[in-house]
Amino acid sequence: MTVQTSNDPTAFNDFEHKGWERASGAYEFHFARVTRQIAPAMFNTVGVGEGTRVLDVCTGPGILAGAAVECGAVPTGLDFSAEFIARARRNVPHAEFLEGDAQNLPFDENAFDAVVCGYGIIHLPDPLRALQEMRRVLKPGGRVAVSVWEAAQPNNSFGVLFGALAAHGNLDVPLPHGPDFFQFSTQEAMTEALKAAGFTDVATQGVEQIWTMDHPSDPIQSLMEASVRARGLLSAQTDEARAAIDVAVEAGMGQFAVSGGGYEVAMPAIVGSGTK
Amino acid sequence: MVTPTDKNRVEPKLLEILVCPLTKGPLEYDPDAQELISRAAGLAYPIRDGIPIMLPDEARALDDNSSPGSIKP
Repeated sequence: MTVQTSNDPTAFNDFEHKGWERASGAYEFHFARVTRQIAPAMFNTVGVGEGTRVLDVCTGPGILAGAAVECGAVPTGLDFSAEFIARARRNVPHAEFLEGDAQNLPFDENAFDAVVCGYGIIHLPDPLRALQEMRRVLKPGGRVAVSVWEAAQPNNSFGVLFGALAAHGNLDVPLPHGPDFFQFSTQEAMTEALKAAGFTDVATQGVEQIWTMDHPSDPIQSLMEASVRARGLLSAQTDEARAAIDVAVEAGMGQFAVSGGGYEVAMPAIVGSGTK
Repeated sequence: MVTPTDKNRVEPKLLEILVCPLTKGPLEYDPDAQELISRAAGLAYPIRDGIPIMLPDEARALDDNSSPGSIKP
């Protein structure tokens, strides 16, 4: 397997950067309650504990950095978005943060005991390069853990969304070219990518996560407010298609309804890890 | 640990491991200008409110002594 890269890395990076500068607050509001669920699986596989020097790449609002502080670790968080770093710093005052590019890490080799990257590599023009950079800054014997969303399936949230988009809309809209959002979203693909970056003792696992919601329209609203590429896709649909997509997503939400009201939406993840 | 009184200071331990993202070479810390200087890249990376901005697009070119270049909108 070849890890995909963007055909137009500058345009894609600018698209993602502008998007996250706009969406940082909404991302925290809508997604933090899901993305923080991945911390135990990631920390167990890399060994984050008392005194561990851990780098959190694409830290966003500092979710994993904050969880690392709670474990007694010493996290450094990096993100390319100033808005995210400002938020992370407020959320996790006992961690160091800096702005930087995951594909060109500003750290010396062998600087960290562990490296984590939660849902970050799916937003990069050149994710393999980022994985190689994570390996470079790890101490020999140190481990990396990266998480991505599991591939879209009829019984998970992305499956409901992309099923509705495929049935009623147009997936081929003019957005800056980025690598396939789901290219690491099976355990096999994740394993291949980590091996391609030079990691050994590669391990992967699926992790069940639940996105709690009040209304069947919440997934679309969350993605419109708090995502970049999915928002781009949805925004590019005709009004007629958007209306049909909204109806289909609300219908697909029925499977996640819980007695007593509300929804528990499946947002499974894949965690991959490897040793330098 | 970052406390309210020194929140605008870069942790010495972080400075020890920071390198230029382009050259991976050493950085000189200028505490007065609040910059991290990469001689090899000819760039000075700003430190804003204690946050190192390690993005070449945000850095000042060393042979240009005017104001920092290309600030992103």
